[in-house]
Amino acid sequence: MKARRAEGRSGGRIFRWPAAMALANAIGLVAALVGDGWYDLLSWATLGATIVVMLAAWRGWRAA
Amino acid sequence: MTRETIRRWYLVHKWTSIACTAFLLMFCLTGLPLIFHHEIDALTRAPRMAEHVTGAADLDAVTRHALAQQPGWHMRFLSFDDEKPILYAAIGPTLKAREHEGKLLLYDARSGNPIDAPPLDEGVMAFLLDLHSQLLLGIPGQLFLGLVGLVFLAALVSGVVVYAPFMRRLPFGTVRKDRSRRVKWLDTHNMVGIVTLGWVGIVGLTGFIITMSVPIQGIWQMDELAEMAAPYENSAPPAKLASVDAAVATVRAAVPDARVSFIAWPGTELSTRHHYMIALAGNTPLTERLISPAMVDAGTGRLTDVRGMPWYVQMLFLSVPLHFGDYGGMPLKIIWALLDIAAIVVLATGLYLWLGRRRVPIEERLAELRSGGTMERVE
Repeated sequence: MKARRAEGRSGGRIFRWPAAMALANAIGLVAALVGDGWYDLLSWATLGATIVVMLAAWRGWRAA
Repeated sequence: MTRETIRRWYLVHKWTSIACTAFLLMFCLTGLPLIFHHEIDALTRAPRMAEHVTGAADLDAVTRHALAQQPGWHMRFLSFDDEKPILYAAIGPTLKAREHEGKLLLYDARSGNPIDAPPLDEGVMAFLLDLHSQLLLGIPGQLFLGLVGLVFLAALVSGVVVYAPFMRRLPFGTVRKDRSRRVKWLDTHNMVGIVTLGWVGIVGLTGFIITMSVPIQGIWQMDELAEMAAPYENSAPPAKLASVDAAVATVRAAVPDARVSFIAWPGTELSTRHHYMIALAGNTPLTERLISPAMVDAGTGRLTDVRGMPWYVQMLFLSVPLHFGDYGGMPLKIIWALLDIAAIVVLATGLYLWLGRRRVPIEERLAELRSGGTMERVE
């Protein structure tokens, strides 16, 4: 935790990763609707990444 | 954000969440097996199909057979299963009978022979779906759940807003396990909630749209169906209906690359009093969900109109797969189930956090929020 200033992190920094996750989710949700095959694969990868990130965060990023 | 703004959003998050948590737990718990509805039904109550049959059923003969089961009843709909060669014939005591008043009969779409199968509206999965979508209370229950959906969307938005002050001093994905149990579950609630936000938001929003299907259908009836019925304003409905088999053949000849998915009889809620409505679906994963109605004059058998559905009906059609997750094979269903469990974690931790701090003054709870949980009480 380097940026331990009084006002803390900006809104942009706080929501950078959540926005990226939401974008990945949106891509995954739409991909499987648009086509089959590679589109399905893209959908599984992006939505599956949500679960991987969740488990990794719960274990602690640096614990692994 | 000023302290007062944070306080307001915190209260919005708290009260909207309290109002809908019990319903959301019900959604998540009944939704989990419903993701695999198709597979469970196929294992436990699949209709037995005859093998080595070819051809296409005579739809007029199927209609006559269905109506012979309940003399005096009316034919309402005929729909084609999108995977198996099965025809579902919906009959009812009146043309606009409610679903539970009527009967659904199964026919082999190749031979036209009746299929002996357990009724689709009975069994555990049908019960779970009824609970999940209508609270077992019919259309009023469905509309009420739509209201719950709106409250839930407010809980999501306010949750994102109060996420910001909490995370000001914490990196993304922090879960502190070396502190109190409360901090651990607070971090878990925030982390799982923000990571699954996109998926939960879409499933919540599409669920809300699906609860609005009755009003959406009503708008379509007043808008497009009324327009298609207008030329017939001064004529009585046909005394004798033209052949439905010929009507389908006419539509197939006019639109060769479309798949007939559904036929609504004249006078039902999905057609005018003068038309067969023959619903056409496309062949790609996207267009197979988007139905175009072809209208066939039920007196003359002439095709009068083929058009796309208006945007609000298409939005409803597209909401169904996005809500149920049944459009990307088994891996997507498993991911859907895992995300459903993640949503249960958010609900359970939220409930735990609320129950643990009910008697604590609000100022102290807001201090916890602003400080990212670092100002701990001695417990």
